[in-house]
Amino acid sequence: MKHINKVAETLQVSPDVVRTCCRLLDLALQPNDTLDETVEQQLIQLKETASREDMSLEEAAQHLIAMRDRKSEVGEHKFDKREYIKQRFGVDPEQASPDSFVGILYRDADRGIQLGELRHKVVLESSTLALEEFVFHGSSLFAEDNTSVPPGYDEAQERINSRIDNDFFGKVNWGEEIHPLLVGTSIPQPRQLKSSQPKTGQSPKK
Amino acid sequence: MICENVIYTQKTLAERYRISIAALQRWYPYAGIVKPRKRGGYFDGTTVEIAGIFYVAIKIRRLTCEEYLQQVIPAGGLDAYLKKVNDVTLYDFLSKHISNEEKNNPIVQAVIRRIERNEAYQQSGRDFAGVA
Repeated sequence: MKHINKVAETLQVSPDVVRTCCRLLDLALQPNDTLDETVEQQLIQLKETASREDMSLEEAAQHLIAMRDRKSEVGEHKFDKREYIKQRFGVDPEQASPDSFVGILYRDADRGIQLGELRHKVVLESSTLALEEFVFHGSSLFAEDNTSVPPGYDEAQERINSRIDNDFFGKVNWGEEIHPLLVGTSIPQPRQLKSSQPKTGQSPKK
Repeated sequence: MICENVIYTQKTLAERYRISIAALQRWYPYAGIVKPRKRGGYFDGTTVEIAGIFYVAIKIRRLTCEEYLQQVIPAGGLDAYLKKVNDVTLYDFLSKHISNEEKNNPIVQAVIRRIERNEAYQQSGRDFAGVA
């Protein structure tokens, strides 16, 4: 709880400016002219931004409001089938007769929306199933009834792995002994995670 | 006088400044004083400090209440205002540029002491930081 004049002093503006800003930004000014600490912090942040951008506190408040408005506009943008048809065909579908082309399209829009919802659900469900498959069986890509693997995929994957092995791991000087950091550990711990995924992570030497 | 009384009600604070309670209440919107909620309630410490500064501004520096509101506060306080307008710090103003009679004013004394205390505190803080 601080008096508005004290806050104004900190912000180096006249109390009237603080009052205006509070009113603009809907910050609570108590009836006895005091401000809560949260409000004070908000004003201080505003002041910091304002002085960084070299503008007055009031200007900064105006900017903030403009930004808020823009944000809420974007947030409120929703698909409106009537607006959509109107924009595409230049005819208000509510005015068009139901057996006209636009009228039929307008009714079809409902089915389009249903289809969209269905697609959304399918995407969600299939991604969940794919994730489940991946978690329990290591890789969903080699699941038997998975039709999404395009032809030639295996060969491409093979090529990539051999490239990694030859061009990258092949060039690393592994030495013949076990790496000093691995001496203490009993051998193939990191491989266990990948054991169900034979295509990747073939470390060349042990 | 080392341990000064900082617990004031509206009545005792008005007495300290030798003004009526009504006159003190007229200061509130200018000085930025939060009134105690209850009758006979006490001001908090920072409010008493603010009142002291305001007293110095209007009685010793002889500013009007409007000037305090329109110039001193936007400048960032009386110290900053004096630096900007008169090129002296509040401490120098009170300790060098006013008459002895004004210097002996208990409120001026209290403000001077408070600045000294703050500076001593800040200096020791700086030294401490330097050692560590």
